Amino acid sequence: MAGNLSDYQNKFISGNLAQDIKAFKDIFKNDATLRVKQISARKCVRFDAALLYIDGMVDSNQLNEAVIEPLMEMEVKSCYSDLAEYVEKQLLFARDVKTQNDISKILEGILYGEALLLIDHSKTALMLDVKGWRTRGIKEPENERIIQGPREGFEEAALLNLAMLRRKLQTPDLCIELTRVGRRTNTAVFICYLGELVNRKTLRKIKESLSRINIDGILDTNYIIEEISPHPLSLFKTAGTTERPDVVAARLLEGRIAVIVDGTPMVMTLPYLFSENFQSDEDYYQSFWLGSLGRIMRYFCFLLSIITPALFVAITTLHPEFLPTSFVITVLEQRAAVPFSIVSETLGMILIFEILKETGVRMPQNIGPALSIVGGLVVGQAAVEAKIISAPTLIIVALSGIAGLMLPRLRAAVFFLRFGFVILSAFFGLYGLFSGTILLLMYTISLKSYDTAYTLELNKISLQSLKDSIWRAPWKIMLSRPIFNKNIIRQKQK
Amino acid sequence: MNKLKPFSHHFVWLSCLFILGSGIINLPFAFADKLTFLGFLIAFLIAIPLTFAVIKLDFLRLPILLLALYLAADALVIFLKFIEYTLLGSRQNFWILLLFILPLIYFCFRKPPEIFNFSLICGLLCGLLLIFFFFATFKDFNFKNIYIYSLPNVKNLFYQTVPYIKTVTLPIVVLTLFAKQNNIGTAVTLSGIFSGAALLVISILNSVLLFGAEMAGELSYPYANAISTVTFGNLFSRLDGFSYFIYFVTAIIKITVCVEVVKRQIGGLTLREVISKR
Amino acid sequence: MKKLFIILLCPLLLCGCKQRPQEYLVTAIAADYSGGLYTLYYEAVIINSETSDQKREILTASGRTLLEAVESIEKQATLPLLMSHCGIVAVGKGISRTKLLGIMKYCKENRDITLSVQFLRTDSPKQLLKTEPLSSISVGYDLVSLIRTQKEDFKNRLFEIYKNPSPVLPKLNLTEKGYYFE
Repeated sequence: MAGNLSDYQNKFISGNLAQDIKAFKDIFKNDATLRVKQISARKCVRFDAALLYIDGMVDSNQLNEAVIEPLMEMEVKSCYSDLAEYVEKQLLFARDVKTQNDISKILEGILYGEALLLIDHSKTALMLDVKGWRTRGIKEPENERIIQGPREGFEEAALLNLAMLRRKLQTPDLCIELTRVGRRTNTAVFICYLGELVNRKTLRKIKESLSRINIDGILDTNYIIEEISPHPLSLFKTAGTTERPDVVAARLLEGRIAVIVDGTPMVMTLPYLFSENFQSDEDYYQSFWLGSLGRIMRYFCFLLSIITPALFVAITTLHPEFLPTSFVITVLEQRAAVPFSIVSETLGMILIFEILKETGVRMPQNIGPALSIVGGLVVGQAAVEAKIISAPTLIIVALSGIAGLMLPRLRAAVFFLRFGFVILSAFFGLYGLFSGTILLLMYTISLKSYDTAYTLELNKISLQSLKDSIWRAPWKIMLSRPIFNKNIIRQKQK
Repeated sequence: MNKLKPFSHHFVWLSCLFILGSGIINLPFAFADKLTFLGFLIAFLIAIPLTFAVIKLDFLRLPILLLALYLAADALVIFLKFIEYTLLGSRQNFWILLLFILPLIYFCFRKPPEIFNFSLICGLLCGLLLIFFFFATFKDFNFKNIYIYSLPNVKNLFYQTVPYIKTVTLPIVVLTLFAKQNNIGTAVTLSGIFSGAALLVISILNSVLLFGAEMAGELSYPYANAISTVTFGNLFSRLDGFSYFIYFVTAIIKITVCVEVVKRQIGGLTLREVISKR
Repeated sequence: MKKLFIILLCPLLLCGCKQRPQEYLVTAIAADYSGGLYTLYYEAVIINSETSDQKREILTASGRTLLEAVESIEKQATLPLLMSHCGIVAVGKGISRTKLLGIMKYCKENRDITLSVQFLRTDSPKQLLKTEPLSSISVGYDLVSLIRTQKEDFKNRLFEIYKNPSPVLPKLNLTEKGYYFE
């Protein structure tokens, strides 16, 4: 199609069928998928129409049965002055029929899978909802697997995603607002929230931010996240993302706002708190003992992952007095004849671990086992025996790497923090590590996710504010929602 | 229902860290003897009426500002000397200074709620560590180190009290002004002061009960030395690295709070606002 | 402001990552006094950087004062001495109470030696350090482990005996089978 939708604003169809068909053919002159089906009613001499649609976007069966066939068999009653109204209200079997004469809106509809019915001598056209594009099918998200709980995952079609969400939240309070973002993609973006629970100020801010986006195209949620985030360069995510409808429903029930982008299964939720990085969907589907244990382990693994290599470097380089004598001697023995300094060895191993991890994700699955063996044998055994790296460093980095895998939402943060801390420790020992830790802590505390403090639970110390942070309290005592929500009470005991 | 003002709990932990401040690094001071705790008590008792005076009287603000600046500089110097000592002088002083100054500058740009939240986490950690090490060294305590067998000499008592004026009384006065600036109630302020003093006493007790007041006073860093005596089997024998963390946090909070007191008094603006107004 | 931060941080990149140099790991100190001379023995462990073999060396030096002996031993050592793993100070028969105080003062003022270093008495400090260690590491490490297994608390750590006007140190005896406390 030539130009943008905005180029066709305030232009209307003429009512002359031939002229209108020519106009649309000109708009779609380089688009081989546009189909034009001309229709004349057999039992009527006055009725000429044309059906325009994009091949592949419509349901052909529905188009044939609900639209073309009724039109072909149509008998025009002479009392009807407006033929379009008759066709719209009495003839067609399509699930949704709307009148439209604005060309930009018509184009929007055609590009989203609707069919256009132009009627000769009628200045009103009909937009028919016969969407029928193919989808992937509902599957469990690869990156959010759980053992117990629902297995549905979102897919690329936003309308289907909204339907899945609707099934979870069967309440008229669920509000879904449509907006379009992207100059050339005109991507449909749906803002979802529960009217009684949402923070109106946050909602207004999000809508304003979305309207300010001025980009060619939105192909994924992350485009929007980076465009509207108050901390675009932050290591920590300030917007939640998920592919699971149950998670989105749970977050909406806490008063958050969900943004569903057409064309991607990833849904964004705001605001997002630091403690959510350590939550797993399963925490709520298993007993609170297991959920709490899992959560505490994740916090522990986060600290282990970012601090262990730095602590090892700091102690072995600048503070060997903190290690027991036998351990120092073991480390020195293992490190003897290794040509690299402990710092470069550690950094190198961290990089190699990341490379192996990335390769494991990207490569074809049938090569996976072979790569694991190569990685384990080559890096693990051969390199140590050849004295290229030392065993203690390998163990520390592996431990840190495995601990980091417990936190998929913090992948980027864990990698960069680990790296940064090792460098600080290399130069300043424990002080570098403490300095980095304190800076990190203060930085995390000062982050905001849409006017909501990132570490909101710390603002008001009470059992209720901590019930869903480091541990997951039993449902019976989770009486209130997070405190950024105006409607605090979640449940009342009878 | 929680009737306390916002950040009341946080203030208690902040005051613990503030009062520990640089005192935990080198108390008991040189020439300390068995009367050192009496000296501490007297210095603390002097601080209480001063606390009320600061709350009631506004004209004391200017001298307290100068005092805050002095305490900040003093804490900085003491802590930098400690880093230099424990890094074995293998790093240039400039880099050591930079390592501490950069986080400090970052902290000075933060708003009080963020400082409160930070103090909550670190205060809890430091408090737990202090109590843990107190009990870990308990088996080696010699309680005779704190027995006073005769009536104290007034002159000696005076000499034992004077150093605590700088490390206990004056910081409490500055802390009270900070509490007033942040609308913290009197009861919470006093709770914070008592909690901080209690933790400081625990740290001093730790070294005095282990080494005796005279020996502890002779050591450059008695609390770190006290922790270094903790052993758990063959594996954990030198845990004084934890004291480095406590010192780092307490020093940074002390200096940040002092700077915050000064900047609030000067213009009531945050540093960021001052710079952006230029 | 951001530029200032970046400029200040850039030189950090030029510092380079240092490898810790090879050092003597001193695990025990022995001292004796005779003929007007202090004799110091340091038991030091060193790891060969090429073969990763562990070697134990006894460094010996004498001096008219303790400080002289210490300086002499430091000059003699071809590598830096890491004193922070020293767990034992064994004093011989020639070390009287006043001389013991001098040794204790030296240990206290040395920032690497902890205040929990254990003091003990032995007839021949030199012989003690030259015996083969029961563990693979060092005699000092053996003795620290041995003291930990004793039921009796010797109260022989530096901070326990420093202010004691007449400290009683445990006596260690050497036999063919090993060492034991009297």
